[in-house]
Amino acid sequence: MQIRDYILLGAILLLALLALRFAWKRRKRGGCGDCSGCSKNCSQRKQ
Amino acid sequence: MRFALAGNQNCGKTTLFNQLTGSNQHVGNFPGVTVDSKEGTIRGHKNTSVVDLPGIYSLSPYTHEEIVTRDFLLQHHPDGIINIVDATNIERNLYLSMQLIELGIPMVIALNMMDEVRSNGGTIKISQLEEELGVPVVPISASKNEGVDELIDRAIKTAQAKQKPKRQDFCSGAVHRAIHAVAHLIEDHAERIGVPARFAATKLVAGDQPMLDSLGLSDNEKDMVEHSVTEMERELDTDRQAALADMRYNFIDKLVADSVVKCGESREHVRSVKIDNILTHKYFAIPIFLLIMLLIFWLTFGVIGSALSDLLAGGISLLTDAVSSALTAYGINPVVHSLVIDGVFAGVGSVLSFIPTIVVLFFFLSLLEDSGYMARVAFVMDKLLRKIGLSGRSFVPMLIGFGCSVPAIMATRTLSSKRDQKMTILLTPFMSCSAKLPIYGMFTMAFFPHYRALVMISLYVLGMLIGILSGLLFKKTIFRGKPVPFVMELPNYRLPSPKSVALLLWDKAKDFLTRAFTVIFLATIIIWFFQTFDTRLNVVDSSADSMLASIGRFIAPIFAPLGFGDWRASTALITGFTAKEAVISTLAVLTGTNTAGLPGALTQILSPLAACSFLVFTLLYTPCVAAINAVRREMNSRAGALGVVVYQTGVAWLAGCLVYQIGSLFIH
Repeated sequence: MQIRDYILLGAILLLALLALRFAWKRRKRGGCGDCSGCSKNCSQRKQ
Repeated sequence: MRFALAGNQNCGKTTLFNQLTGSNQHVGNFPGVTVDSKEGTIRGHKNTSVVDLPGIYSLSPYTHEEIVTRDFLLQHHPDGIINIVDATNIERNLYLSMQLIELGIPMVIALNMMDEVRSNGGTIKISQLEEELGVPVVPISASKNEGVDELIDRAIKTAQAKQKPKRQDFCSGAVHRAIHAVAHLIEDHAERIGVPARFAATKLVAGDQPMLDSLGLSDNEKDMVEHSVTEMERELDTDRQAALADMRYNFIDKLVADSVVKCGESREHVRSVKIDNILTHKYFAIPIFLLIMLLIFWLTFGVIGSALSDLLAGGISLLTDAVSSALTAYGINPVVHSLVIDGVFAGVGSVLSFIPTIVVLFFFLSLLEDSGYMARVAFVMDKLLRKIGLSGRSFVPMLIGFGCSVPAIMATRTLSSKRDQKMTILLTPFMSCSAKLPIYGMFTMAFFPHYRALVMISLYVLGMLIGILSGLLFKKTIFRGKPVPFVMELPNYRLPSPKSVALLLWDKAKDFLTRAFTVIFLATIIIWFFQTFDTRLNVVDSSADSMLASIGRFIAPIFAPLGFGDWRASTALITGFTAKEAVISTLAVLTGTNTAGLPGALTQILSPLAACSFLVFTLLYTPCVAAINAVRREMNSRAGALGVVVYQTGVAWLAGCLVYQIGSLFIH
């Protein structure tokens, strides 16, 4: 493998990590819409 | 500063909320669209927020929406209430207004839909209303953004001055005496829990058990309250709730007679009644609904959607070839080349091509919802749903389930009965969600290219039929009992709002694209890795020698009776647990093809009968992990969520097996 292969591979892995982070945050941010009595640290509560 | 938006269903709260905040909350011409509160900042007033509450008809704690609104008003202590009243239906709307006034919170009435009142020749004496009710009244038209600025100014000034309603006492006679006697008795208790005494007293007179429990009265005090109320009932010769309702409506009737010049029945209403004579006809309603759905499916899968999807698939193929050539020209390592082309492009590309189909389908469905027709369908379905132990109210979540099971399962909160809620949660996943459309689309393209629309609608109908059969089974076993009565307001028919439809389509497309570039993208890379390397991390010549094939062959025999014992098909189904679209992207990666080549590759590994069986299994088996999580949350039970997975997968296996085994008797 050459440098350009590692660069491309690195870029794909970086995108994968970003996708994972985004999906995880979205899952937390999505919330359930019912804040009453909820103790979860959900971004929806902060709005 | 924080305001609460409260009012009846379908009076324009969410429309006003969107005008005030500039947000894009979904406005459905359908009662029950807003199931929980949403908050936003008022434009131009960054320190002032407004909370859109679900529509209610009273502050009694019976339905989920009433509980959400009442709890918010009593516990969160907003600085003011903006009570939206539908001016075309003022009597019914003022019933809630009177109860809100009793809360003693600064309040402004927004008299909405004034444009309709004027166009139908009616007038309302605003100053008279203000004087009689003791709160400011501002005429507005939320959909046309008229009067909204004045409403904001009045509301802010009222809240800043802490200007409570000038009048809270609308009663006389026996009701007046009972309320005042109770208020005097419970004053200190009400103050202790932070509830206005007048409001608490009225609720006690109405027999509000949660209020009685929260006040913490002694037995002696409870007896005295009961005595006052019983005296009132005896004097008026009616029960307590009827007495209070009479009191309020007597006041409202007099107020309306003095201040409202009645408009003629609105043109919209007259037109709606005429249309309803046909669309909710005793015998024609359901056939008409089925015909409309057939037309929508034909236009989506047979004409517009499929043409656009084919075009996009062609474009994605061209792009894939171009990128592949470029990578080869740059001398990129074959394994990395494979990751990019056979992994990412094949997997994500195979799913992306279905965006047009999904957008077109939801375009038509949003037209139906926005026009007001879906409310009629819920009404018409009530009779059918009662046969399986549910009411028409359950149709709302099921309808949402055709889009996505997660908000559908959350929408079951609007069902007042726990029994109805649990049963609806169990049946909603049978309403085929839009994430399965790429699977249906790809398989019909491969195996039944001339019967796309027919196969699609057959799958949806089959899902509903299995749901009905499951409902009948549950009704006789774990969910005995009757559903609650179903009361729903039918909104007038209206032309769908282009803005509302466009917002919904954008939301759908954005959601689909987000899933494609997150969950599907990740699943594709993982699948590619496991099917490119063996257990010693050597690159394999054939995916049949890969790690994934070893895992796939272990589970494949389970699906042999269903006709798709090929390890690639069974592995693809497993990935569908993360997101249903992943089934197609996995098949693309495992067959080593791209979007254009996948249909051909599928015909090599499955027969048409096995494809039918595969489609039936995909239709019915466990929903994705996000939906399972929603089930667990709403049922508050891991066992319940596990039960859904096991039940649905079992039904899917049985149905697939029946289709294949019986079909094999006729087709060789």
